[in-house]
Amino acid sequence: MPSFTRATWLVLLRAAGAARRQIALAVVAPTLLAVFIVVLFDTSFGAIAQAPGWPVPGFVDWVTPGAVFLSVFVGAGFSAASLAEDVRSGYLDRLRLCGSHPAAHVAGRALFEALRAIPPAAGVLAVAVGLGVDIAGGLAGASLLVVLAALLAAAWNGLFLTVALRSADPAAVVGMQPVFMPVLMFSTFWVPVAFMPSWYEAVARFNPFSRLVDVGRDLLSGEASASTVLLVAATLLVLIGLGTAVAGRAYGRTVQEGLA
Amino acid sequence: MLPGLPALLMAVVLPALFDRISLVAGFGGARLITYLAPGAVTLTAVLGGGFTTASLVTDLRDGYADRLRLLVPSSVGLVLGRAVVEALRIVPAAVVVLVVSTIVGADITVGPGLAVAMVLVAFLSAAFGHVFHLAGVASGDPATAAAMAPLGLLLGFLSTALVPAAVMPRWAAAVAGANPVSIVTEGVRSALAGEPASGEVFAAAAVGLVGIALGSLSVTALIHHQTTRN
Repeated sequence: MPSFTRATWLVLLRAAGAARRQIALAVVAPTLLAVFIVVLFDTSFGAIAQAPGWPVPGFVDWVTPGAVFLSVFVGAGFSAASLAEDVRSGYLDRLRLCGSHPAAHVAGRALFEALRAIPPAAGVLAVAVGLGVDIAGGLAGASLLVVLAALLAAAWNGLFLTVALRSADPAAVVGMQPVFMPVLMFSTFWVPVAFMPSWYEAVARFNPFSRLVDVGRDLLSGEASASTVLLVAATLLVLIGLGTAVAGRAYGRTVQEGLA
Repeated sequence: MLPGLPALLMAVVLPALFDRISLVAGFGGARLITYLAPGAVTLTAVLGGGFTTASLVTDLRDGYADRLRLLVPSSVGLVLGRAVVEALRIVPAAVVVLVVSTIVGADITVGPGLAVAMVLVAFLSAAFGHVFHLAGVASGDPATAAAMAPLGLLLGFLSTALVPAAVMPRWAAAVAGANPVSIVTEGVRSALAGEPASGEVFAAAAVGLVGIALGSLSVTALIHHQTTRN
């Protein structure tokens, strides 16, 4: 029986193999979708950067950190869909007979999702630089932003893995995709709070995603404090732990119900 | 009601987020919600398009259409019937978007223009549905309509539905000028402003009707081509 670490590594390698075979869906699509959405909004609403009080040179300068995180949201659920298929086909049951550690199936996929988030996040940043966005925070700021995106991917995909394990239905995983939309729309993703009506501002301030985007913005502008970045990273790590635990529990319940 | 959800979100969220764009030179002075409301009503047709495509493709694949042809030789009824469904189903959703837009502050003139606006949106829905039908019949896959969903988003954003062309980049303004969704939007805008018999309204109606006619002919021809080939 492989150790938990070894089993996690094997699950990660299997997920990576599946991603390699579907590179367009796993990596290219999230990059293009994030860029597509930002370009569409910039086309229609980019002129808002000419309004009095806009804090940065252009619209894209403001939304770039959010766009990096957007690539995580639009690409979520890749390994969860395959997990649902594994549950449905009985593959997971067969692994269990071999003594495989249940948590490894969740941890390995969460780790894979973190790694998979890196190329789209870096790709979106590269496109932003190409569009003339100034990254005053330099390579260090940009790299830390990508690391935060990777942590967000591991945390956010916990939700998808839980649904996959409970439903055993890849369509249910796909159906979860739009959940990110209110998280994103009711945040400081598109405009500063000063541009929002009071009710909208209250929601945006309450939304934890606003905090994440704001820290990302500070990283790119070179104004982030180490303590804030660490706090956000620690929060994401706690969420990853919670997500893994909840998904592991869902796995346990699915197994129990299967035995009953 | 589901087809209206994206447009409804646009009518509520976008004016809250981007209201200050109305302060930018070229916008025209009106508040964003007043400008955007007719666009959101129009976009109900394009953001929820292709509802009947899956059933059309399934009918063709499962042989139901073949059995129908034994009774009625032409496929025109199969296509036109769905165009009518596409036109009618969108009206309740468009009405809800209009009502909510008014609640959140859009300035709409109550009168016969409301009915005219709904007719224009219905025409657009029927015409745009044919685009999905063409792609669905060509691919033979009922999931085609779902895969084509971003097309509505693209057509909506690259039109004058959300903001005037004057505040768009030059390339986007050129695309918006040639986009049929812009023509229909301007017709709906004129009707909702209390001018139901303006040139914009007639132009929008013409775009819708020509779209329905061309679409129906093309889809029917494609179905005929595929069935005779098989």
